[in-house]
Amino acid sequence: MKTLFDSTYGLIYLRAKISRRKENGRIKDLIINLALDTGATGTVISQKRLIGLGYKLKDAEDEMLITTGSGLISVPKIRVENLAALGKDKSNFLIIAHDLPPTASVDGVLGLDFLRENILTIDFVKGEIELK
Amino acid sequence: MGEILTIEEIERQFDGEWVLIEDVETDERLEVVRGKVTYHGKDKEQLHKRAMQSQSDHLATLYIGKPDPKMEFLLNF
Repeated sequence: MKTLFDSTYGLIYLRAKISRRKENGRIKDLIINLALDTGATGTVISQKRLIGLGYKLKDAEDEMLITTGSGLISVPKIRVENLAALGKDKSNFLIIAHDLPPTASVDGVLGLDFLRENILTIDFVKGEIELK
Repeated sequence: MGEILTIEEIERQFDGEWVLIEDVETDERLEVVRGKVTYHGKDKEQLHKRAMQSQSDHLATLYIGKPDPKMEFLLNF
């Protein structure tokens, strides 16, 4: 399945869906914008969006250090029940929970960990992305 | 607010703003087709508060439109 993007603009915007099963058994999901970042080893999603879905930062499985403009900070890694983007679903997927600056027009980045084991084709002429 | 709007109507009405869309319907590419806009504005903190209060199981939080073209992004993790 090919996904369309605006190749004239700097960021490659993608729609992604994060899901979580609630205590009553119903699935709650959230559609967000992510930036495709093939220079990022990990996928990052806003802490606030994850908390809104019911994920808890205290349940972090790991943490990592990231470099920001204000120095090194520690951020939690949370396992989400499902993350969908580019026609692919990743279950029990470990993501970095971190809020990008308020000026960012996305709620995170889709990194290499989501793309591995697939073939990623970015056609800047047609403005199409395909993950097979 | 609360009226069901199509994505074309949302893009027309809320350009340059964050929107919270409840009971969102999407296509197979996860593109929003329609939904109820229950918050719109530039304040991401307010967007978060409204999203936390929502009872809907199908939400979208999206920035509508293009950011400032003078802004460059360096995203590395």
